[in-house]
Amino acid sequence: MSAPSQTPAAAGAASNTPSSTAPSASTTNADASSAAAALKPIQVKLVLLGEAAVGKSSLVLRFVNNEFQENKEPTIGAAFLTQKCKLDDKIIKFEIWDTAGQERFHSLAPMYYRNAQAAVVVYDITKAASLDKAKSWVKELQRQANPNIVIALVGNKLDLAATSRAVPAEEASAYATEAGLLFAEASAKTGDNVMDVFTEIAKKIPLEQLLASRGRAGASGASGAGAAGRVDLNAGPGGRNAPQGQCGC
Amino acid sequence: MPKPLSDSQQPPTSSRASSARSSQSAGQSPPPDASRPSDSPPEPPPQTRLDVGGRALVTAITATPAAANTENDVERGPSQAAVGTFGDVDCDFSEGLNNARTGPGWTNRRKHFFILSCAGKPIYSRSVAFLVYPAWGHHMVLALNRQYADALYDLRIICRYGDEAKLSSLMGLIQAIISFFASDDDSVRSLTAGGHTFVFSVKGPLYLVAVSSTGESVAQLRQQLSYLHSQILFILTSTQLTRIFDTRVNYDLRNLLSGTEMFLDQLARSFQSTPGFFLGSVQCLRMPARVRQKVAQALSVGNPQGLAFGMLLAKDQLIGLIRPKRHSLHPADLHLVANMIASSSGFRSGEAWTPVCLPMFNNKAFLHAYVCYVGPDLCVVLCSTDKDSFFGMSEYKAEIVKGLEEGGCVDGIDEALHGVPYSIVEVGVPSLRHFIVKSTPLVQYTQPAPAPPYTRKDDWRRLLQIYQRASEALHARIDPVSTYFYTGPAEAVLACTVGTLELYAAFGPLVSKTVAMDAINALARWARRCEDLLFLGSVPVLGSKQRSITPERLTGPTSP
Ligand SMILES: Nc1nc2c(ncn2[C@@H]2O[C@H](COP(=O)(O)OP(=O)(O)OP(=O)(O)O)[C@@H](O)[C@H]2O)c(=O)[nH]1
Ligand SMILES: [Mg+2]
Repeated sequence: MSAPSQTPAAAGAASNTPSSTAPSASTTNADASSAAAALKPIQVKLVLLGEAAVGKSSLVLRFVNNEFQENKEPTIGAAFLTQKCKLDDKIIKFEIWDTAGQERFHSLAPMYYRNAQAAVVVYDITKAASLDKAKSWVKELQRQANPNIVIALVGNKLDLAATSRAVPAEEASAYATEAGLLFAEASAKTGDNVMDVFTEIAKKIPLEQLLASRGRAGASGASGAGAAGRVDLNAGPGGRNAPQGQCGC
Repeated sequence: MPKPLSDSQQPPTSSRASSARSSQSAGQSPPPDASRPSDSPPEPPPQTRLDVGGRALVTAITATPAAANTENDVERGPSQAAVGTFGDVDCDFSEGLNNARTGPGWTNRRKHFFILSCAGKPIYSRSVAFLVYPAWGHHMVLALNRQYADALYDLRIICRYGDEAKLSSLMGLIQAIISFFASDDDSVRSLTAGGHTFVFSVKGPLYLVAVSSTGESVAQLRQQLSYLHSQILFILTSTQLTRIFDTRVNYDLRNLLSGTEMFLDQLARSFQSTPGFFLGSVQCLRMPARVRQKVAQALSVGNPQGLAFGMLLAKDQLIGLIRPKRHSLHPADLHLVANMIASSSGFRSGEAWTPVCLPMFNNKAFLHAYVCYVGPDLCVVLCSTDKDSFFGMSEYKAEIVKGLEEGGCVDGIDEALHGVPYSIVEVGVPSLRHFIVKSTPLVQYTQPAPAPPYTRKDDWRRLLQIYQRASEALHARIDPVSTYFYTGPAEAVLACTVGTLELYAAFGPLVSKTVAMDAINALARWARRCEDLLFLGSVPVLGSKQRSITPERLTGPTSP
């Protein structure tokens, strides 16, 4: 752990201890001028899943731009964003698919998780039903996604815990342990724990392996999932020069 | 057993609009309005007493010609006019009609859209405030038996007060009313009663209803229902919609549509805030031809696999377009795309990828839309037939952006958008207050930035409504007019067709028709002179080896 503010809050447990209230994205962002920038970033494909309005987009926006919008409008289809982070001596480039939670988009999800290395399944701690939905996403991922996928269960809207918590942290945490998931409660609004979630994911992903398999296979991700019709995140040999939205990196 | 509506207390109000409908009458005598002081009392609403007599559902259908004159309306006391009978229910219509006036004679009214499934399950219901001149009414009158009359009454109450408590109990009645209109022809599924126009439309498994006291015509309301229906297809495709109701008649479509209300809402609002819907055309950003050509070049730098349509939009204004050789992009489809982008600020973060169905292009299948803002108001939309082509589209977007930058278009577009406001002054016709010029073959229109008084929302909506009337008169199925002249207390509007151009122009209320005619001719000359600036005349075609710019249309059949 070399990145300054990445005090890894025990992601395996609900941490109600207020960590850095608003972790600045820049603390973990790769600094272009640093020597590490010379390294080739390791691409990590990450998908966000969960019921509508639990705060998936808000979490991503906090992670990528370190901002929060009070009345974020629903995502249509899916949004693609990227963020580079430094972990120890490596640079990780998260390629994030923020999917829409609305029911009509459910059938599109496989397109996004099929060859992802990580998934963040989000529920809203003030809405019990959203945990059920999260569980069904976990099931679907465990059945159909890359078997090595790192899944994090995130209870969002932690800032509302005092007033309207509907899901006890212990309940979700117990489920996560049982299902073999990372777990954290977070708040996109205050920024609580948001960085930590992504840090823990990055730590759990077999980066070396990813790097090695990339070197060999080039176009195919570590997942080896080569189903036709998937979103080929590696399309275009290396040089994808598309300016990536608001990724700020 | 048709029975004339003898006890209808007054012949429904004449509209000065309808008396101005025929160009001859309008040309000869000034419309009554022009001579009326602008502070005259508001007219009472058009009244219709419905008669509920026989057993038959419909006992009378009377199409009343617009005959009464304005003086009659003014003389009629409010007390007399305010109470109508609807079924056996006495109801006071005065409230809500005469309050909240924003100009002499203008009132705020509401229009309500309902969508339900053929099984009577509610799908969508929304009430829209609407500014209207009460003298505009429609005069087909039905008398219904008690049950149906009550249903219509309830619909009106919902329409007026936005009270939806009764809604679900009404769905069955709407079903019954619709099935009563035995004919399969949608055109007969409408009626006007008690100052409200009811339009029913059956589209596959969906029933759509508009209830309106806004004075918009049946044809206009039907067109709006059709847009709302297209919006639902845009989200689901007709294939999916049919399949759902084939397998489960009682399916609650709100499950699948949840989260899309904002599309329908945005659309319902747009009907009265932008003219593109009733004009059936797209607003085009005015730009120098040089910039336009550069934009076209930038848009057609390659031929990425799967690309069906590409467009560059600034809000609801079209900047550039590419399309396949065999297909054209229908303005209605473009409206739906622009409507989607306007509906959600979510598109502003990152690159978006979402299935969309463009019903006029193909209502059975989805295309996949890549949406990315490349400037504060500048949005690239690439529609692909391949659901896995996100990264291909993303790369293509990057090339477009490069092309735009290299061609120096970014500043040009920016200037066209913000820097140099396109002002009415340019036309050099001082009497003009505002205008719209539509190119019929290009299905595009242009208008200057609204100047006072049309910078005020209410004034703008009023003007739009007059334009809408004019457009309807020019395109009426029966007796279309070639020139439409309206004078009211706040402005005069002249509309006419000159060659392939359709022109709508607003003047001060006291303008004479001769002066207005001269002005509109000058406007037409100006528009022809500046055609390259105003309209997107040529659309690059995808897949053609030579990326030359062919003078083809935005829509309509491709010339061989
Ligand atoms: N109080 C609080 N509100 C939040 C938090 N995160 C998100 N919200 C709010 O919850 C609403 C939904 O957030 P989104 O980020 O759009 O939710 P989403 O999961 O992306 O929703 P879809 O895109 O429809 O699937 C918005 O109004 C947010 O402002 C949070 O941590 N605390
Ligand atoms: Mg979202």
